Amino acid sequence: MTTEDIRDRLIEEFGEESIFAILQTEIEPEIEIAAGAVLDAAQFLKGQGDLSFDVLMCLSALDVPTLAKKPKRKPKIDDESEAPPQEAEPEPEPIHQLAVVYHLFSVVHKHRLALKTFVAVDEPHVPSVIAVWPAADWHEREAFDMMGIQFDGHPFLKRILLPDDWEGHPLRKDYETQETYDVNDEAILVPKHTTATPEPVAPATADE
Amino acid sequence: MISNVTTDSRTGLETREMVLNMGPQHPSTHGVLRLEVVTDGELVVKAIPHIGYLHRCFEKHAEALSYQTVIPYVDRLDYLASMNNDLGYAIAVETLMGKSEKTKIELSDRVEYIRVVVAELNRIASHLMLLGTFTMDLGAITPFTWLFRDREYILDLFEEVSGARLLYNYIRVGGVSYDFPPGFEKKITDFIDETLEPHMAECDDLITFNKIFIERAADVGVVSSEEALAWALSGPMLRGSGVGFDLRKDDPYSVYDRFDFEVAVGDGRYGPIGSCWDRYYVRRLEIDESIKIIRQALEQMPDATEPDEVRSAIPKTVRPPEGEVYVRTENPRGELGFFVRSDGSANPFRIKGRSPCFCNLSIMERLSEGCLIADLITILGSVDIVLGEVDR
Repeated sequence: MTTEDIRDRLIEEFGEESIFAILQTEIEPEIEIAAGAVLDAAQFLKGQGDLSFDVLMCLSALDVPTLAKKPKRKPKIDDESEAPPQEAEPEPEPIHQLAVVYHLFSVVHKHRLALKTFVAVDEPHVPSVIAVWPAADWHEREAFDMMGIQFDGHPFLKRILLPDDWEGHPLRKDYETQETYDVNDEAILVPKHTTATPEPVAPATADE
Repeated sequence: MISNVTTDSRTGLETREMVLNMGPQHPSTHGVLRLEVVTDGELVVKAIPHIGYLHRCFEKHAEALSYQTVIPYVDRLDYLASMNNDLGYAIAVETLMGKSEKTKIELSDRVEYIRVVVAELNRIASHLMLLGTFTMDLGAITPFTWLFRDREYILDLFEEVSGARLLYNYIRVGGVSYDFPPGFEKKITDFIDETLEPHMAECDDLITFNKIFIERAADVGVVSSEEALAWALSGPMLRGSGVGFDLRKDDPYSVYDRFDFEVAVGDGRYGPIGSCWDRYYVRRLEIDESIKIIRQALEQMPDATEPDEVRSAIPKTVRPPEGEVYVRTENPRGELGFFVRSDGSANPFRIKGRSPCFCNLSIMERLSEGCLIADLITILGSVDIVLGEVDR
């Protein structure tokens, strides 16, 4: 089953307000989907006999700092395929967004699919798909850890690779490397690499 | 850290669950994995894996490097199967580059066959390591030393071809770094005929069908096929559960569609399908299948038509067209996927490594429920984790 067919099935079920155009048809087709519809679509994709996407191969999060290029790309794809299904495109002004990509595979039918959803960087909420694919558990924790995406409904959304008290989400493009490990904890305060080093502090602790 | 206190009504004695930490420094965890084990006497209520102790920011590093210079970092993901990692990464970048006529790379057949031969040799080396360490986890020292002897031969071969014993940086985007040295093909076949195959027969006598080993491994840590798919297990973990799915067969990459080989599947010969013994045996059989592939590949491999043929297609700068791909290959431990997004520059915009061990380990909490502490070691050994890949 081709990605176009699957998109038609999804539109039939969820409507065009949740399922958008196919991105990058010429490389690896990805169906863009509204973040709110991810869980329902996941259940649908796994449950339908002729789709039966039973394996979540990979869940990747990525940072798309500027989408200035995206609206340019979209009409191009629309021209190539058919009439543009949605005119109300996101404005061409650059917006900082995060994306989650789901790579699905069906062992029964041996077909694959990529779903992609965009979320705003200040409200990065995506429903968790653990209920559909338990494999999503650690992938979602990693996406939260590295990119700060909130998976609503995840039972244990904690950092997985980094320490619990880490600040920020390192794979975001606007991430700034920490100068100190934990600024609130005096005991493990690492001096900043600046000229203004707190000279009197060091002998005081040594005397104690 | 005490929970679930129950009092025996007859004696008035209290029973409490106890939380133990296994690792991060524990010989059976094969690296720096910490298991938070909730125990009820000798039984494990559950074991929660805590990972991240070996996190080296691979994905963050990769964004600051050019495509070709990411390869040494890829080597260090699954450091027991560097060739396979390199192959997966190279194919991912080549797939991305193949989407535009301008950047498309035409690989010569010789390169493809060389890649298959080294990848399968590395698969054998990696499985030998697992068979050895797994049985050592169960208390048998001899197989470990015997199998390491054979693995050492393979590392010597790799040293000859790439200059390194463990982290090869051999397979590049667009080729491989050196052609085989003269007489190398014969060395491989001699090693297989005279050393590896007789030793595998010995290995079967010594452990595979050893009653003590079967008693320890069969009927322990059973994963059903439905569970295996739901948790996206892959590689021997999936095939051990009776699902005959192998990317080399079902989604062939490189030239794997030109070889005749079987997909080893767990058959539940001792106890239920999907036990630790099945996973062990799948790996043992895969060594035989890899030998078959190597033999065919060496037979079909064309001679070099020009000097330095294997390097001629390596591009000076790798600049894939804008776009994203997810490419997966069959590693010794399962499906190694690379999600690569390019923005058209010389550095990757984002690389996500989908590591097989990461997914295979995530079922650990479920698998450990209600098992014995001694069996926990068996289960962990049979999952075959490499923490370098889990933590990246």
